Amino acid sequence: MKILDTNTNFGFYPYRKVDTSLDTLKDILKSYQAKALSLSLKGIFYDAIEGNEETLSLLKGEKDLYPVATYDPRAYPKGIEYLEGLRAKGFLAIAFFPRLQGWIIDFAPFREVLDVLKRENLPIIIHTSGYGELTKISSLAKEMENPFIIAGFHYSNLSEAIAIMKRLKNIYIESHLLNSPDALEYIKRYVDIDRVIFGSGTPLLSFETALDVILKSTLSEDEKEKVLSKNFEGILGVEL
Amino acid sequence: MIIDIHCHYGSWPFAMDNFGVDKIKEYLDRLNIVKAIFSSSKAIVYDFREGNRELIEFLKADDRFYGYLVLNPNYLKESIEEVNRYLDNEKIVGIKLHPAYSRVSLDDERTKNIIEHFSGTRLIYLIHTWGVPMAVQLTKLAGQFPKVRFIMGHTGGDTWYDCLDIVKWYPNIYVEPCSSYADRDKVRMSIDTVGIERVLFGTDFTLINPAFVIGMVECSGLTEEEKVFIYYKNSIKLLEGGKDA
Repeated sequence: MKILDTNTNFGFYPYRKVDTSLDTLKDILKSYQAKALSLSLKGIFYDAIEGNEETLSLLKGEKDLYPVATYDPRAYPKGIEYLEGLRAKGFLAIAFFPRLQGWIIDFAPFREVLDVLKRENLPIIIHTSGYGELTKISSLAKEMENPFIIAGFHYSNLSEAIAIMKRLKNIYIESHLLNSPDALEYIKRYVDIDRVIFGSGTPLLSFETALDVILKSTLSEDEKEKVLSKNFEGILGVEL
Repeated sequence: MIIDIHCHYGSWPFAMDNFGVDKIKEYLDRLNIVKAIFSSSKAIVYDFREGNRELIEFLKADDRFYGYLVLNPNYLKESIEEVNRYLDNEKIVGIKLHPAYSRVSLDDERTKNIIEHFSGTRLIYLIHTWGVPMAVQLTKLAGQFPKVRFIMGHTGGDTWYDCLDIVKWYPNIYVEPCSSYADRDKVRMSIDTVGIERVLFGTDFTLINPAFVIGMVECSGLTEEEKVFIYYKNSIKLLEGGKDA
């Protein structure tokens, strides 16, 4: 079964000593024959544009790793022009990290960023959590056609994800924090399993944990395959 | 084969089904959990005596079910009565304290009073710990009561790497890794810091999926022999009062 991880990264992790190198990421993915979307941590912690260039540079020639761009709205308008034509540069998606970077969805520079991104139908991945965050995202997403993939939902705020996904077709949930025992079955029952996208957060987080949650669930093999790769490929419209 | 030393019985105010006996059994079957130690969610977040009563009934439903009594040090006299009421029940293996919900810190005299009162019994303690200050408080208790065995639930949560360093010198503090974030290096670093015999398997089931924590163990590069310690051997030894499994 093909595995396509939409949430990986590589580089230096400043908050504790841990191996998050590209080589380690590649070793983990190789052991599961998995493909992945990835980006340099430099773009999250230091400078988005420098990080994006590093992502493109280091992933060039990697057949199983696909670049993801990022942007830090705290730097707006610096570098905003970089977000024009991301697909042509080689990125498959763009990811935002408000929780790590300390900004909120109701942040005017983020609206400016989305205005640029709506010009091409690139998937927008947002790593956030906290009650009300997805509700705020939904008010932005309903004015756009881009798919929004939200990473950061676990037992305490799954209710918000379900409520929003029922209303908006372009909202998807990334799986790495879906940690309540029946989270997948619950989404299947109240929304649709087509709206779950596999992600792990590796190499900082456990790839096996994210995978086990899918494989050890009661979903059918077809449904597991959808979560693990086909749902995201459907969003992109291409097979990776 | 797995022993899960951190489980809950009762409902949660989140988007998930309530787990009754049959559904819990189905999960234990599916994930190869042969023994699970529960505390009552109702007892933690609301009325500890009502929750404990329901837990006692629940434990009768399956040979794999064991329990912790939840105590609330705000009700010191009633907490002590609660333990005396169920102390002879062989399904009760310990006491669960959740300082965040009861809002009574681990270095509060009432907490110490409870531990002192039952320090000569077989009971182990599962302590919810989150953050460095709570880990420091736990070490004070462990130093004061060296024969009492404490489990540091969540290994201190999001500051687990600092908390491991804080508790490593206390042989009567065990750690268990469950958390909403499945840090890839958490189990390995726990073993390297406190020693493999003090790392237990716990999941927070029915709040958190046991598969979540199984993945944390499986990604740690452990040998099959090491996994045996984590998955059940350490817990058997702890539950049997220090005897090897």
